[in-house]
Order: sequence, then structure tokens, then C-alpha cells
Amino acid sequence: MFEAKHVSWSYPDGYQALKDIDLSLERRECAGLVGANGAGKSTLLRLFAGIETGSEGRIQLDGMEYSPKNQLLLRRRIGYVFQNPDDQVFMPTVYDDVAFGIRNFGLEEAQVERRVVAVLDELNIGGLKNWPVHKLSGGQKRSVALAGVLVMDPEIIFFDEPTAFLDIKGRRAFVEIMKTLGRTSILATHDLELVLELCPRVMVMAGGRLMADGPAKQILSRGDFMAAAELEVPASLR
Amino acid sequence: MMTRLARAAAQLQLLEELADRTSYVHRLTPLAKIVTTAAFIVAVVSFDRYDISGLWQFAIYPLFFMIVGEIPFSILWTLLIVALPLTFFTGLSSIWLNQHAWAMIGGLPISYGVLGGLALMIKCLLTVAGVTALMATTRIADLCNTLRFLHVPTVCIFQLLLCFRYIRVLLEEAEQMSTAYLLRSPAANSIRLPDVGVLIGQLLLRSYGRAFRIYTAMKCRGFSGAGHMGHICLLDRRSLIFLTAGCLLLFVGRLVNFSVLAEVLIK
Repeated sequence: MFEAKHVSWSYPDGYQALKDIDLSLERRECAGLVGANGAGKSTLLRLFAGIETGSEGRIQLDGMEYSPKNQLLLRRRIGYVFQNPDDQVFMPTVYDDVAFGIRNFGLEEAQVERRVVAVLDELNIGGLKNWPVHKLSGGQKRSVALAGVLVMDPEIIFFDEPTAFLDIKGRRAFVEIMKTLGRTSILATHDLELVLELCPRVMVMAGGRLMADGPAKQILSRGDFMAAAELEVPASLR
Repeated sequence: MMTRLARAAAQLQLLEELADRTSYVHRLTPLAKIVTTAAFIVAVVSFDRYDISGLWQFAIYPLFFMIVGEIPFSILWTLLIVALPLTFFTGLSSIWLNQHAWAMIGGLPISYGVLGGLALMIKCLLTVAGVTALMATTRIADLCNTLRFLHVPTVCIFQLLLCFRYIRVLLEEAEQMSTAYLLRSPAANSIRLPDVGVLIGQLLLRSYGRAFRIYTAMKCRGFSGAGHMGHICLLDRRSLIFLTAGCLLLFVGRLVNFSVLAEVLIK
């Protein structure tokens, strides 16, 4: 469904952030992307989301090649949840923010309302519909940011540090939402317990390379490998 | 510094909370309020630069909003603190530039410059009060939707929208920076002058970074410069009556100086 072949990418100053990445995802598959700071997780995610361009190699979503001429079409099919929901939730009310994307796609207002209400109910935040966004807690903002992406009905969603800024309760709520989501998704995170809970598969990055790709429990429990990737075996696997 | 920034952020929050109320003026449609406020501002600024007596009667407009909408005067004061100093210094230059005597009051000569400066400050006070009344009784989302209907360029509407949303985030960041600075400068009561530039520079860089991330988030959700913001009720019966009566009264107020009229009638 989603495929990246020999993908490399460099910053304008020449620093190579991604080196020869090969990966593919099946429909409805959820994979964790882990690695130390500077390993290239966020850059890879931004490239997959179409935010960064100009990579070497080939990226495809359901047969559609990543290229400037396909960019607008790809944006309709891809969702990206930012690390800081304050960067993503910018409209004055929850309703307006969730509706932002589908209004940009030119949907009729009646259709917009129907979809916004449905997605807010799906995430159990229907009561926040008319709330001003500045009154939301961190967890609520995270849910609204996710609603703003889900309402566009993307085929694949990329999450950049989805549990950053969340307390225990907010994190739990996010996990419950993710368990029922059933979408193709990649979660870039430092939270290895989250990966174990949500993703049967994990990809480990270090120095811009994909060091391992396979069953999460198996890979994350290898102490020597984890140390080499500047990570630690999660507490639940020790 | 810290308290002032926190207070400014709180006042902005208060402005948004006030807009959520349901008084008579809150229930008027944004279109009626925007048009009436625009007419009010045009009427106020169109007065002759030395005409003070005709301006006072216009205070009724913001006062009506403040009283009926139960808007605390403190919020007006906060905004005036920003606007008035600038007008005050412009007024001072007027005093210096125009020293022709207008009248003698208690043996003290009052120049046209003083009169002009005073008129300028009253105009500033009235227009700021008018806009505050509008902002405190209208939700920003409704305001922006109506501006879109009035064919205000989308880029301007988004500027307004994002400024309103992120000025508080920026104030919070500034407060965090100043707190971090003061915690590591136990001897200092405030930020030292040589460090102000560095902190402002950092704040600008942070603002730039955030602006870039917000723009990226907008693009990810299909934003291409043409904003779409949903529909809104433009005019109902109550608002139509308010709009007609308001504009009529402002027109009459602009033509008739009631203080002069009262003086004539008393004589």
C-alpha cells in the first residue's frame, strides 16, 4: 500500500539526514518508528507526509508516485499529526479547526457539519464542538488535532511524537483512540511502551539509516542492539 | 516584566470570554456591529481637528455597548495604555507646531495646538473604545466570517485570526523566557538592557519557527491561500433595527452638536 525504495535525503547545506531507506506498509498496518534524537525519524516522516521534497529514490502511496505534480492529490490522502498540537490547532473554535481541511477541499457546508460531528463523536469529544481552542487541555488539543486529520479521511496517517505534552490520562485516552482507529499509520516516538502497546511492528533508525524492521517485541528486547541504536530495552521487556 | 506579560495574556483571554456572553449586544449579528462600528469610527475621525465639543456625545456608543454587554472598563483601560501614549506624543508635537492662541482660560492661554492634541486623544479614546466594544461582544470566528462576506482579502482575515490566536502563545513564550532569565539572574529585578536585544531576537526566531510550523500544518490540510470558513447569519430583525437606528443616530450626532444646542436652548 505504501512503499519507499532507496530513499535518501539531504538538507540544503549538504548534511545527509536519510540514507537508503527501504520500507513498505500493508493496509491498516500500524508501525512504530523509533530512534535516538537526530536519528532521522521526524525527517523521514516529513518526507513521507510530503512536507519535505527533493529526495532520491522512490516513494509511492497505492501506486501514486510522490512528485510535485501529485502533491495536492497526495495531501488529500495523507494525514500528519504534529508533535505540538498548538502548531496544528489554530482556528478559533474546535468545530472550525476540525472543519478547516475539508472546507479547503471544497465540501458543502452541510457535508462538512455531518463529517465534523461524526468524527468528534468518534473520538468522544462531541461536547467540545463549540469550545474556543485556547480553553482546551493538552490531551483535548491532541484529540482535536487528530480529529482535524481524521475528518479528511486519509489513507495513511503519520504521527510525530503523539504522546509528547500528554499526561497519563491523556496518553491513555490516545492509546484507546488508536486501538479503535484501524488506519495505516506510522508513529515516530521515544515512547517504546506505546510502540509495544499499539504497533506489532517497529522500525529502528540510527544515523539516518533504518537499522532494523520487524516484530516490535523481538527487536525492542535485544539489549545489545538497542544500546548500539542509543536506546534502552523498555521496562516491560526487561 | 513577568506579571505584565501574564496580565496582558489574561486580558486577551478575558476579551474572548466576554465575547461568549449572551446579552442583547452579544446577540446582534456581527455584520450589524461591524457596519455600525465602522460608521462610528468614520463619524469620529471626520470631525475638525480642533472640534472637541462635538466629540463628547459620541461616547454614548461605546458606553451603550459596555453597559448593556456588561463589559468591564478595565479591559478598555488595558488597550488604551497601549494606544494612548502614541497619541499623546503626537498630540505634544501638535502643541509645539501650533502655538496660536485660541482662548484664555483663567488667565492661561490655550493654543490651537493644545486643542488639537486634546481632540486627537479624545478621538483615539473613542475609536479604541468602539473597537473594544465590538471585539468584546463578537466572537473572532463570527467576525472573520463576516469580514469574508464583506470581501476583505483572505490574507488579511487569516492575519487577524492567527494574530488573535497566537499572540497569547507568544506572550506565554515571552513570559517563560523572562522567567528563565530572572531565575538565573538572582540579583536582577528585571531584564538588563544589554540582554533585551538577545531575548527579543530569540523570541523572533521562535515566532518565526512557530509561524513556519503553523503554515506547514495549514498546507497539510489543503490550505492554498483561499480560506473557507462556513456560513453565518448576516442580519436578523433585531440587528436590522439596531443597524438602522445606530447609523441614523450617528448621522444625526455628526450633524448636530448637542452641547451647543443645549447651550442655545438654555440661553
